Amino acid sequence: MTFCPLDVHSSIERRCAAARDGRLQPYSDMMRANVLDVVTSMFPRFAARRGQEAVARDVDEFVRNFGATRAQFMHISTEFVRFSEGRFDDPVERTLLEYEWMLFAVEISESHVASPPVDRTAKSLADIRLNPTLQLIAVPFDLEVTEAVAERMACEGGSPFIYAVYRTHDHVVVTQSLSEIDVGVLREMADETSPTGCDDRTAWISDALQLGLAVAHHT
Amino acid sequence: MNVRGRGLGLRREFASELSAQPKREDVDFLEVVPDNWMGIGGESVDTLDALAAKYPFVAHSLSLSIGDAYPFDQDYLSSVRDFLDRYNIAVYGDHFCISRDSRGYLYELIPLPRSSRSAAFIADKINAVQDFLSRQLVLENISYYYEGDDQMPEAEFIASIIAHSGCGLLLDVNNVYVNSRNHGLDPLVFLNTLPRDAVAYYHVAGHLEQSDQDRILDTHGAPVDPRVMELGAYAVNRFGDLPIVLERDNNVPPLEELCNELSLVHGAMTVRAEAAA
Repeated sequence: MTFCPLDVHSSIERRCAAARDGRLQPYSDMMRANVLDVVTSMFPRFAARRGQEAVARDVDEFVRNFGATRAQFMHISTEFVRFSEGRFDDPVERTLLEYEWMLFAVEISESHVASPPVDRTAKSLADIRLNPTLQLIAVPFDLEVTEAVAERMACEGGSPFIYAVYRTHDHVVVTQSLSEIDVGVLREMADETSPTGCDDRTAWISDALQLGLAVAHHT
Repeated sequence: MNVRGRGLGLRREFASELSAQPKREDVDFLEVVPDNWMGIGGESVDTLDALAAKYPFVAHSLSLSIGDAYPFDQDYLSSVRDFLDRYNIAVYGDHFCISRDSRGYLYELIPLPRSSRSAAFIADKINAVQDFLSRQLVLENISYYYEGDDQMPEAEFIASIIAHSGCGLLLDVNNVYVNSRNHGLDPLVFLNTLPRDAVAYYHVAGHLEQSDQDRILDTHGAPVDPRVMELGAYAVNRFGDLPIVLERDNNVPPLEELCNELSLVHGAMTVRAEAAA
């Protein structure tokens, strides 16, 4: 591999630094507009919560200083999440960003989700497996409530709310609130441990297949 | 080229609709941006697979950053190669630009410093990429809004790189027009400086012209300007009746309207070129 001549190297770095710092128009503005567009469209609840001015400052900081490692434009959102690590004090903002990124990750997951079996008569956990796109998220508030209520719940520090986020076989991204029983069964499935009791799981399995939370093992 | 005729730049806005239709007679092939499709699953991939069964693809990426100072991004290019192999794509390219610096990716197409030394360096990088992909690289002339001091004229710079690397040129006619307007250049001088066998295929798109702005912007957000079609006809006359791709990224109209525009642009460029010959 030929090395870049020094004068060419410094010329490239100067141009890029000027674009990052706001001194090379219209590139500086276009770079910020690209990232802002991604942040507001991919993370609408986070952006609304954080506020227009703060998001614009975040985007400016991202463009100025952040070293994005993923080449594709479609991963700007992932790079923004990396950039945000340790940056936001507000637990609601952090949670919304994590949750909305998870929606995106599940939507584009490379895992194939099999169609549900015609005969949904699986009776034991051995007959089913977790939806391969499934991700779990524990958050300090109910995702369905308003931001004001969420803020109060986050401050009160009660038990976390747990959700499953997954994609169905027909490409719908679902956020499913989970009960303690759900979490226990999912943990058993994930760990492939033996069922802790001899409870009849037929109803749970039927619901899980219906929801797309689990898929039949043989598909 | 394994494609000919009229190509449409594939965008998510109409991908599902296009995939649900029978093969259209007014679209001969699709240009896909690998960056938007590789390494993902779900509905997008099902759509792309359905389209691949009906149309041949060429691929045109955004983040190769051929002009930066570093060795190419092996992970990125490996993904591109897998994508090209999966969809049996022979024609692949990107842009004559920089999109990465010492800190990381910029997500923008920054113009190259143009000198004989940078041309030689880029030609070497192109050769390395072509070896890695086992394909000729087809690079696009970009619209640029910044011109450094003592720059080599763009067409001479591109011609030099082509001569030393054997890469192809994706001639973006709208970019030639936009640059000529913004920098007070003669677009025909640009075209006449390029070797006659340099071009692999053409891009056309719309731009934004605002009365209160000094510069016009390559937005891909409006119908193709008749003056760009006229310039395109000149290009077809000089470089040949090569495939033409219509790009639209903003204000994307209904698919039917877009396909009509593709036919209009293709007709205008090829028929006028015939008349001029």
